[in-house]
Amino acid sequence: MKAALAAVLAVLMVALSWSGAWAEDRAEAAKEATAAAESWLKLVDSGKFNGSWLEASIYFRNVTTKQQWKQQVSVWRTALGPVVTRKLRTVQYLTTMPGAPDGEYVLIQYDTSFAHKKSAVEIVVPMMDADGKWRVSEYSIK
Amino acid sequence: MGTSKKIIKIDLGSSVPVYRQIADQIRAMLVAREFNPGERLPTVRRVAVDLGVNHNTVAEAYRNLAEEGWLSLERGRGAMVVSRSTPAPNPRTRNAFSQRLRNLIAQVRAAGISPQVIRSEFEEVATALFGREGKGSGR
Amino acid sequence: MIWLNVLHMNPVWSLVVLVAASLEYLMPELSRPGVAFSVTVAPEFRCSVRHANIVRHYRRGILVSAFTGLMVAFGAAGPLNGWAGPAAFCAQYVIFLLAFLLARRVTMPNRIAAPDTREADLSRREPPAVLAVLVIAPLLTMAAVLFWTYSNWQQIPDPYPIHWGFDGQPDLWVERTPMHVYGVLGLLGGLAALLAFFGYGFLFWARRNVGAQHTRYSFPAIWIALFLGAEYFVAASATLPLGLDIRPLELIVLAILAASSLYLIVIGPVGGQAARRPDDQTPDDAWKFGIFYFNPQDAALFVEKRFGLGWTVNFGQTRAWILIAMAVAPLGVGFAFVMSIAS
Repeated sequence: MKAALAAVLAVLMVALSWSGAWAEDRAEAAKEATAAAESWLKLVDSGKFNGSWLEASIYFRNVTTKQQWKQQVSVWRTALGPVVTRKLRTVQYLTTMPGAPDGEYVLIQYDTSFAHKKSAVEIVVPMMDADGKWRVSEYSIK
Repeated sequence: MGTSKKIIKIDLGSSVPVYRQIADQIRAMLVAREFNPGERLPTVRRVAVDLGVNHNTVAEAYRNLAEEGWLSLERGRGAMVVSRSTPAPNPRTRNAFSQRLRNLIAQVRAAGISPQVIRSEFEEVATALFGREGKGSGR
Repeated sequence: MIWLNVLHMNPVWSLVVLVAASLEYLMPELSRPGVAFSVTVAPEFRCSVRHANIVRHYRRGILVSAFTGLMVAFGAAGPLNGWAGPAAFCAQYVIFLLAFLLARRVTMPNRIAAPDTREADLSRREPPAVLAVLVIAPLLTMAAVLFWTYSNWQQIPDPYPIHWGFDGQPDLWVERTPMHVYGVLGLLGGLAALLAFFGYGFLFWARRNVGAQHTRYSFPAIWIALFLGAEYFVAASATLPLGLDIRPLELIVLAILAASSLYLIVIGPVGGQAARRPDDQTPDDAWKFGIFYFNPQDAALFVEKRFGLGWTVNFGQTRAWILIAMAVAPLGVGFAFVMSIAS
């Protein structure tokens, strides 16, 4: 019994002293994706819809044409008005998204206040493109 | 000492108050030297929790035993069994004992217990409490 | 609403539903010989055909509860999203309660008066004080984490991780605000405090029946070990945002928890039958709905459950309410945090 207890304690000590992976990889990815989302949102906020389409992911550009995107986002932003405040709510790392191919995604939610709508939720989903860069694959407003 | 169980039993429906039942049984154990001087009894809280009664009930039992000289009560540390010198025999106590014994025997006889059984019970209890001590003395 | 991967979460909740239903299925066998569905009965009744029929009907109810739980977990995933799992658990539990209350009602006509006798073994020693230290230690480490967080705010990751996947990697972050960070610590702290309350209570404040429900000493030890294991797991989780990889520790704790649970299930049926006393030394009228024990005259803070494994709180003790409130208060902070990040 004592030998078993000693063995368990020994395993514990080894496990705890194992320098092991600090959980940085995923956190780094989340940071990069968030940075990509925010610079992309700057384009949308300043009305550079063409630029935002060009900066989006391959998947986004395959699913939505430039014209469709410009039309859609213009309608949204005209109705809602300019952004007053934007606060990060959650950042979630995923490997699947409904209706989208498997890959690395980061689902970011913002609590956003527009000029004509006090409280809304913006959802921006950067994905890891083939060239290793994070680019926005989805954008919606609730 | 130590590993044998020291079980006390109480009857919540009895006319005898619970604290007295507890005190009587612990006293019997003390007389039978099941606890030695210097040993600690379980705390009031522990006995109350295990019996499912109020703290005050057990505290009253312990206080009674302390007044009789069996226990020393220390706040926060519980009750310790102390060496108790046997008091001088009191004729009134002896008379009261005889009377209670007569009443008890009459009750159990009336309930149908035979004299042989009563006698063997007495011998068994006396042996358990006193062993060889007290045989032939006290007359 | 936080988008939760249905395929990821619902198998976990379904497993929880199945484990709960399995335990509830076994429960009639775990009671003392003189207790059936929380009603004091003659031990012979437990062997009777009538009792067997009641148990059969009760178990049918449990099967319905398990089936319903699984249906809610998967079928309601659409409308309920991430709440389908908890809803499934609640649905299963409610149906179990109904099955139990019905069985209890049907058992009532066979009730006998609970004995008025009580026993205590004065030779039993208190558990060693080192166990009290073991129970309280995780709370102290959590207090240390709280203090460190307050003193080193800038070193807390931003965004702040609040959920980890099975691979040990974080997969959900929130903005590093006091509400979020202290909310998480409140949630974990409250949970750890509640587990510590139970662990300490089982050790020092619980009725120790002579010839206990499970006569093997190992039952109380394993039961308490379960709660302590869970407490250590929760306390270790509080260090996750600081970047430590505690997966090995968590795996060991989980293995101990799983082994303990299996052991309890194995000895459960044997233990109940072997009880020295058929009754559990509690008055019938102190049991409300057969589940809640309310007896201000009983000094015990915890008594044996009449139906189930382990102990239950004596709600007649004011101390019980105070201690539970103290443990639940941090949980309230944690709940506010959860609500602030869920819509």
